Amino acid sequence: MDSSVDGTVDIISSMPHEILHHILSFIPTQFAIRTSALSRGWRHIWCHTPFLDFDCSYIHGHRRQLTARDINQTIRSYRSPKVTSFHLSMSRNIREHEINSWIEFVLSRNVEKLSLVFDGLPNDHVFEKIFFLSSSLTQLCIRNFDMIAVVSWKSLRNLTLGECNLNDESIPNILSGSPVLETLELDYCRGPQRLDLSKSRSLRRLVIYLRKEPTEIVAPHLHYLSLESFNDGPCTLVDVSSLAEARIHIVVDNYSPPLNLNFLQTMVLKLLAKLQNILSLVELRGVPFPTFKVETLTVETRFTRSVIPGLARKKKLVRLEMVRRSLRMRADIRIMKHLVTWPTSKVVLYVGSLEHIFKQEGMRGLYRGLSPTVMALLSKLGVFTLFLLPLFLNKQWELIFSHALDEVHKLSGVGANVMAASGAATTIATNHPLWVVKTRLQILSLAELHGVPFPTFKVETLTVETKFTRYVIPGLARLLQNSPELKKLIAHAGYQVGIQDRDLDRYMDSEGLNRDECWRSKYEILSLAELHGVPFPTFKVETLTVETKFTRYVIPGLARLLQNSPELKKLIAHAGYQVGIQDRDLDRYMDSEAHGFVHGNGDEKRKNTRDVGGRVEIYCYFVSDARWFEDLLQMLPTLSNNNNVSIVLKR
Amino acid sequence: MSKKMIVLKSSEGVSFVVEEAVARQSKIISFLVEEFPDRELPLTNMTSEILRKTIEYCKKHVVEDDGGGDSSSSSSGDLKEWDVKFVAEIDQPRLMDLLMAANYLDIPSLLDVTCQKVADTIAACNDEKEIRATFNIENDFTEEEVEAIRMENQYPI
Repeated sequence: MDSSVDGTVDIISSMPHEILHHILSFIPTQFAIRTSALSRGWRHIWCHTPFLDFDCSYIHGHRRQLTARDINQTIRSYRSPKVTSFHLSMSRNIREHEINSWIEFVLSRNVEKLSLVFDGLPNDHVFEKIFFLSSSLTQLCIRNFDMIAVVSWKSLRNLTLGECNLNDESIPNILSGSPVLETLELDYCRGPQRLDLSKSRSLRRLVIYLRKEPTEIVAPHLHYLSLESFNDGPCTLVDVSSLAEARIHIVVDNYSPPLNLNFLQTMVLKLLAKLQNILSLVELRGVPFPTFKVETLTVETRFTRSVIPGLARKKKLVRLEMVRRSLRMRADIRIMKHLVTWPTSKVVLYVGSLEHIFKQEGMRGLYRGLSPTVMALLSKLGVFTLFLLPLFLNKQWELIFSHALDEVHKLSGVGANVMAASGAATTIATNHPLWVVKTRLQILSLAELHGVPFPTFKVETLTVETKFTRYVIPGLARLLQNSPELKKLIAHAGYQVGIQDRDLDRYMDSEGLNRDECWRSKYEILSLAELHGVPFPTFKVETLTVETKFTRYVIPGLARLLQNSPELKKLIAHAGYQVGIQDRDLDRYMDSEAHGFVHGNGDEKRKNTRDVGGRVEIYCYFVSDARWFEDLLQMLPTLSNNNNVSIVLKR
Repeated sequence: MSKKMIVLKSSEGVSFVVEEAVARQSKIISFLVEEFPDRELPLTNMTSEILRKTIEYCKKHVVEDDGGGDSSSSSSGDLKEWDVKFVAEIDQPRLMDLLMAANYLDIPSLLDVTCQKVADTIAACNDEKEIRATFNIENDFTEEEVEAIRMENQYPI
C-alpha cells in the first residue's frame, strides 16, 4: 500500500486486455464486474471476459445471495461473442426456465467448459434438448443431477458427474454419444453395480470416488485409474488389462464403525491382483507375492510391519539393495530403496513418494502402522499408489506383525548377504552392512506380551528411532538380547510419534488384558522395570546411543543398563527436547502405585562435567528441567565404581 | 550425462546460466533455443531481478525426464503450496513484472499463478476504491458516471 502512495505507476491498466481477461477468469463474475467502475479503461473489460462464473448457492461474506435477476442483468450487459467457460452453482429458488435460458445463452456462444452444480439432492431438472446435443463442449461437470439422457457431445473430452443418479443406460448413452471422451470422473454417484466402460475406445482415464456402487469395473482400454473409497471396501476390477497407471486410496478413518478386516483385505488383494501387471502387490498373511515384470524396481515405502513381509518376499526375484537415507522426519522407517537391475536395461522405475504418504496419512498413519500395506509406487510407466489408512487395533494385528517380524529377520539376513554379493562397488557396504531400522518398537513390546518369538537381527548396526514410551523398552531389550552380532544400537526418541500410550491402553482393555499387570508394572521406562524388580536386560553391545528425555525416571534405568552391560564401551545419551514420558504422567503413575521413588529436590540447573575416565559418555542437551540432574550425579560414582566404566557428563 | 546449459541475459546485461530443461518451460525460449542453438539469449525487457525469480520458478517446476535416482520430484500438492508461497512473497509491482514476464516468455503455469494472485487481490478488496488504491489506478470518472455504473451493476458486492 505504501508504494501506491509514493506514486508507483499503474501497471495493471496498461496490460493487454487478454491478460486482464485472464486475471478476471480466476474470480466470480460479480467481483469482475466491480472493475468496470475503476476507470474508463476498465469500463468494458469485464464484459468481454469470456468467462462467466455465478455462485448463487454461496453468500460471500455478509453479502446477499446472487439471484436470477442479477444473472439476467449481467448477461444483458455482457458483450463477449465467445464464452469459453461458464460455471453456475444454483440455489433452490432459481427456476428451471431461467437456468435453461442461461445455458442456451452460453451454448449459443459456443461454450467449451461448462460446470453446473445443482442444489441439494439429485435434481430432476429438465434441460432443453440443445444441451445434450452441444458440439462445442469439451469439458462438462454436472453435480446433483439425474443423468439419464441420450447425448451427443461430439467434442467432449472431459466429463465429471458428481453425486449424480445413474441408471443402466446412463453410462452407455454417454459413451456412445461422446466419441472423443478421454476422462471420466464419477464422484460418489449412485448407479448400477457394474460400471462397464469397454464400449469406449477413447476413454483413457477414470477417476472414481466410490460410494456403494459400482462394485465392479470393466474397463479394458483404460490407461489410468484413480480409485478412492471411503470406509466402504473397494470394488472389483473385472478387467483393467491396459492399465499403466493407477492410484488406489482406501481410507479407513477413526470415526466410522470398524470394518471387517478380513473382508477389506480380501477386497484389497483382489484389487491388487488386477494391478500386478503394473507393479506391486502386498503380502498379507501368507498371500502369495506377485512376480514383478519390471526390469528395475525402486521401492520407497514406509516401513510398517505389514510392508516388511512384502519386501522380504521380493528377495526371490531381485537383487536387493537397501540404501540408507537420512530423513529429517519423524520416527519411522522413512525410506527403503529397492533396486533391481536386470542385465538388459537400465530402466529405473522410480517407485514411491514417501512424503505423499506422509501427507495423506499424517501423523496418525505414522504411529499406528497397522495398515495392511502402505506402499507407494511410482514409475515411468505409471503410478501405483496404495494407501491403506491404519485400521483399527484389531485382534488380527498381532498376527500380522508377528509374521512381519519373522520376515524382518529373514530380510535382515538377506540384506546383508545381497550387499555382500553386489560387487566391488559396494565393498564398503559389505564391510559394514548397515541396516537402518527406524521403526516403532512399541510393536516389539506387544509381541512380547503375546509370547511371539522375537526375531533375531543379524545386522551389525541398527538405528531405532522411536518414542520412548513404557511399551518400548521391553521390546528394545529383547531385541538386543536376540541380536548377538549387533555392534551398535542407536535409539532416537522421536518427537510426538509412536503409539500413544492411551491407544494401547484402550487396546488392552478391548482385549481384556489387565493394563497394569501386563504393562505398567513391568514395562515402565527403564527405571520402572527396576522398581518392580523385573530383571533388567543385559546389553552386550559395545556402543549404545540412547536419545531420550532425561526425566528423573530415566536415570535409574540408565544406571542399571550400564551395570548390566559389561561390554559396553560407550554410551551416548542425548536428551531430546520435549520427548519421552512427561514427568507428571509418571508422577501420577507413581502415586497410583503408592510407591516411593527418588525425587530430585533441586531446582538448580547445574552444568557439571564429571570425567571419571572416559568409557561411558552421557551427553545431555536441551535439558530444561534439571532436577533429575542431582539424582544422576549421585548415581554416577556408584556406576563407575561398580562397573569400572567411565562417565562423561556433558550438558 | 552432462546437462545442456543455456545462457539468458537480462536487460542489465547480467548472464544467467540455466539448464536447458529448466529454460524450456518457456515456449519462447524453447523456440529460440532451437532456432539459435549455442547462443546467448538476450531478454532485454526483463530485469535481472525478475529473470532470477522466473528462473527460480522454472527450476522448481522442471520435470525430471529420467525419473530415476534421487531426483524425487515434488508431488503436485507440494508444488501448489510452493507456488502460493512463491507469489505471496513478492510485492505487488514485482508481481506485475513477473506476470508480464510469464506472459512474454509464454510460461502458462507461471502466468496462471501470478494472475490468480492478482485476481485474489482484486476479489479481496471491498470496493472499487480499494482496488484503485491497491493498483494505483487513477479514477478518471466523474462522480455521476461512477454512480451510473453502480446503478447498472446493482450487484451484491
